[in-house]
Amino acid sequence: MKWFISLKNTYSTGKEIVPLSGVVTVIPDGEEMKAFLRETKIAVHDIAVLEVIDVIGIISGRFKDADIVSVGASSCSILFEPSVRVTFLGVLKTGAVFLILFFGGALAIMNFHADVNMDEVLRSIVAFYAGGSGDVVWAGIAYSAGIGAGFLFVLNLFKPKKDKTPSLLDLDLHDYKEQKQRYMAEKSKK
Amino acid sequence: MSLIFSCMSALAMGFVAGSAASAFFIVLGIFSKLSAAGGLPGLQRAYAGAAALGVLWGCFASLFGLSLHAGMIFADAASFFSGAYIGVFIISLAEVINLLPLLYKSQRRKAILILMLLILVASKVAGSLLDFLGPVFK
Repeated sequence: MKWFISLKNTYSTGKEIVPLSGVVTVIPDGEEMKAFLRETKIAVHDIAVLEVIDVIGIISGRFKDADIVSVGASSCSILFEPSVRVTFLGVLKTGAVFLILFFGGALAIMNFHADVNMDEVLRSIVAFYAGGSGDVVWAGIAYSAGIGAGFLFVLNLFKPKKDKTPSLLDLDLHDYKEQKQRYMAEKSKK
Repeated sequence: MSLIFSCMSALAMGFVAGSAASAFFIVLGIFSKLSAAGGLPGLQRAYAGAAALGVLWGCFASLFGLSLHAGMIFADAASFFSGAYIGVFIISLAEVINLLPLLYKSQRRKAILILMLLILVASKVAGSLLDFLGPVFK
């Protein structure tokens, strides 16, 4: 009988034992095959790299007359990511990151304002529209509101749950996660 | 009417500046790098929110001439975290322009690469100290 197997590229888990059904899809998936994939376990300590040839070996060991065709990845990196315990040091580090981003953001925009002489630019805008040397407070408030709106627009921080479009931030974090997984997988192969 | 026009212009300028600032943070990978450094997972959006709040804070500090009169300890703490941000920024920029792989190609031993990076950090700290403390000792 002909079986098509598809191995995932990467698989993250919080458990040290992963059923084969988590990383591989087999078609046609009869009851016997489903039960076999559920019962066959893989032990993961830090990272495990499962080659498709190993999966073929495991399946053909059980189903002797199987004609297996792989249509997925050639190997799957299984990452063990234990649930993070909240420690005092962890909270401290997270707090430091928040403060760095908060004051860093403030510094970045203040540097920008100093470079482009933003106060003068706002004065020019008010002078152009209102004439004379009007008060720049309202223009400053509108400008600040615009900055907040710009951030929300690009980062898509409050997007509705129905909206599946990834923001730039989502893509950046996804790239970072993929790079990390690839690095760990390659390191474990060495 | 003129107030509405000037506010609309300022709002549009702010929108562009805010979009540019957030894109700048993302392109340099500052959120992803710092979220890896933080101890608690799943706070990436909160980090981005902190940066957005910081930018607004910077707006109020630089455009409206406000003063909190909270004391030097707060000013020193803010300066420390601002300096830490500049450190993250410099290393992120070095990574974006592929400085680290270039250094690694020239010096294949990891220990030498780490030493070169430490020298880079030390030179930045020394340069900054010289810049700010130089006039004091004149």
